[in-house]
Amino acid sequence: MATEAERKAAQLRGRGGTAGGTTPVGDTWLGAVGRGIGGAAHWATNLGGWGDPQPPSPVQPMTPTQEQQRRDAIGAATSKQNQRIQDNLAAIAAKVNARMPGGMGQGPSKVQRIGDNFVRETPAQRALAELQANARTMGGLEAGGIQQAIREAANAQTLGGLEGEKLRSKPRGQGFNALNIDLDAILKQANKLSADYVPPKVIVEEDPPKVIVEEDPPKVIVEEDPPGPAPVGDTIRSLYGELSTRDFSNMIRNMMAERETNLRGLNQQSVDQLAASVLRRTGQIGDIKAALETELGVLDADRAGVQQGLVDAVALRAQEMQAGTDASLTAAREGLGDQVTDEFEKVAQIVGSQAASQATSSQDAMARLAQVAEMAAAERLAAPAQLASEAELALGDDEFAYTQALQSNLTEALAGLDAEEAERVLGEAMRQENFNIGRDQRMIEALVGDLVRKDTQAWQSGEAQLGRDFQAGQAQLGRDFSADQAQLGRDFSGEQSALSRAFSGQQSALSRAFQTSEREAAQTYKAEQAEIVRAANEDAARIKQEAATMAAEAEAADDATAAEYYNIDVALWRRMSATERAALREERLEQQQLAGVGALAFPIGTMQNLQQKYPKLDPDFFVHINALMGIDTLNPEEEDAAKKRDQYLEGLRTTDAFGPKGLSVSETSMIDTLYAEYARDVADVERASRQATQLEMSSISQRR
Amino acid sequence: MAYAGYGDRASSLGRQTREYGYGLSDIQRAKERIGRSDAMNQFNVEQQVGRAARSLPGAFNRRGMIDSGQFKRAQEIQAGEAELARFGVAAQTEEARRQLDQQRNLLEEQLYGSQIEDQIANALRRFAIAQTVGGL
Repeated sequence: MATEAERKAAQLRGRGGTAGGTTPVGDTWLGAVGRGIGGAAHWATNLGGWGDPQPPSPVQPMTPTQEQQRRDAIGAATSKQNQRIQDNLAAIAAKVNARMPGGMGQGPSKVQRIGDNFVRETPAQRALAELQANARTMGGLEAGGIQQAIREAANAQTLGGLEGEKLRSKPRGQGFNALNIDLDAILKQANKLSADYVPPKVIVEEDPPKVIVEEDPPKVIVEEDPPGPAPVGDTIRSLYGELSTRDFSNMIRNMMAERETNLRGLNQQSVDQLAASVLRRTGQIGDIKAALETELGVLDADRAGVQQGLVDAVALRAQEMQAGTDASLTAAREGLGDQVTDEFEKVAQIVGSQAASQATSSQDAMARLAQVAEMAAAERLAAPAQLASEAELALGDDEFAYTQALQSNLTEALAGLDAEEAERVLGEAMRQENFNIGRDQRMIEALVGDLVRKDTQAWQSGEAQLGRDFQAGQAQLGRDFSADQAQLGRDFSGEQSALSRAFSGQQSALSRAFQTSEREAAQTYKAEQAEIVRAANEDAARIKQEAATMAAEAEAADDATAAEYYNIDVALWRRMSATERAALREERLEQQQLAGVGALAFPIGTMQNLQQKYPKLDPDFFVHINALMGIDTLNPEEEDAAKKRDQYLEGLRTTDAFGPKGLSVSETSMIDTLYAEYARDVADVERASRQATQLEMSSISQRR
Repeated sequence: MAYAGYGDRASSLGRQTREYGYGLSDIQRAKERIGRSDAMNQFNVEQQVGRAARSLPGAFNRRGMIDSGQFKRAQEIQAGEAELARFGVAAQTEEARRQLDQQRNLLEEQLYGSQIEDQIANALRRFAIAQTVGGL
């Protein structure tokens, strides 16, 4: 408990230093108060074994259980008192910092420390924190309140109920016990109280967890968790709870109502415009009608005048004809005088009536024509009114169609507005719902993040602990290993030194023995080498001698034997001069020396031995023989090898794009025969070698 | 009603003017020809009437009947035939002139009727424009 008090006092000092910054108040006496309290708390928890080494009071000896209970009770009371002092100090620090320029809570950055994190406070959180601070502190301490709190902090009774404490007359500086507390007096008082102390009866109840101290008055100590910073989850919920969105539903409805009014206004304007257009067209139709009537009236008047003139002329001419006929009859009567018969009068009556009839007929005919013309004119003059009526009828139909279209458009637009309004209001509601869902989702994510952060911190803490344990174990293992290693190194060095010394001694002995044997072996080798050289020279001389002897014997026998010996034609041997024969003899001797004679000749089963047997053959034959042997080596199956050998020999006889190979069947048969001989020699040698090996092995076995 | 447009109407005016002019010319020429024929026929009738009137007294004188009532009756018959001949010439001429007057009346009717129909066609075209609501 004392350690916890010290830690909190240290935190207070740290906060004072951090919040106050450059202010000496938070860093001097206030920090000293924290440190002093922490030290006092530490002392109070160690009253039993602290101070002068005085023996326990002989008046009231206590049992170990009583001693422990006494210590627990004193420790609990001290802890409670310390907690209250620390709360007061925190309040004082908050007040002081709040009154200091640049102190905590007064700067522009309104932050709050929650756990190990600093988060920005909302206005609501700041107000709540201020209320909590006022409720927790001593009701808004001013300068006098701060001094009172300091006095309480320095009061002896607040330090675990100790009495008799008085201030030191001489300060101890700005560090520990800066309040000049008389620690010696406190020590004496504590010892006295310890001696006079009668421990109260303590009852511990577990559910709910509390400790009841039977004293006057009885005191109940309830174990509560110290108040910590506000949980981050609450802060997150508070922050996200402030998020809201505006409701635009009424605005949408108002805008839709305005649009409806606008639509009706536009429709009325269109109707008015239509009426104006119809009125204008009606006036135009009337104008056209009037103009047409005027034109037709003028033309018809002209027509009527012309035709009337014609009728008048016909009537005048008819009257003149009738008048002329009457005048002629009158003149004839005058010329006849008194007529004795009615011959003339009958003719005069007929002529007069005929003339009158023709005149009337002419006038009637023109009258009928005039009447017909008048009928046609009346028909034509009625056209303007008829056309104007038809035009006005068509105009009315057009107006009606336009009116119907405008009304239909207005109706459709109003119906569309209703649907659009419903759709937009529904969209607004969905937008708000989506906003709320998104806000809740983000809040949940933040809460989950906080949980993850806490879990991560716990995991990291455990990981760090594991790391420390591992490092400690590792360090211990390293130290053990180093010690073992050092010991082993020392042991190894000792053994190594002994072995080195032994090895050096043995090495020296062996070196001396090796040098002796090497010298002897060198001497022996030189002697054997000289013997080998001498024997080789002797062999060479003997081979040369034997070859010379064989040559001399062959030459002494006859020419055929000599020619056969030298592997040349007899006729050629006979034509050769003595010098040429000597040169041939020397060449033969050199060949004999190189090939060996007798036991020194090339062994059977070698290509040199075969060439030695058939020196006159084309050297390419032996190349082909060697190739056939290679086919045998590459093909373990005899059947395959034989087939490929035949193919090879057949290839030697064929002619390809590069020309003929130049070998005949007899030559390839000779190659095949030589190959068979060579293979047989090789097989014989191998068989002999195997027999020798087996014989040697059996000999060794018998010896063993 | 199938009224012509301006293009057709312009050609129609030319055609009508031409037909009207040629018609008037024909009528005038016919009138002059009728006048000459009338004058010639009247002259011939008067010549025949004069020769008959001069020969009649001699014929009755040779018979010795100049003072008889037959000579007076013959003069009355001869005067009646002369009047019939004169009326015949006048009636023929009047009939011909009446035909010309009818043709002239028809010509005038065609001319003014065509002009009026052209005016109606022009007005109808404007009626067709004015009977629709424009500007909307």
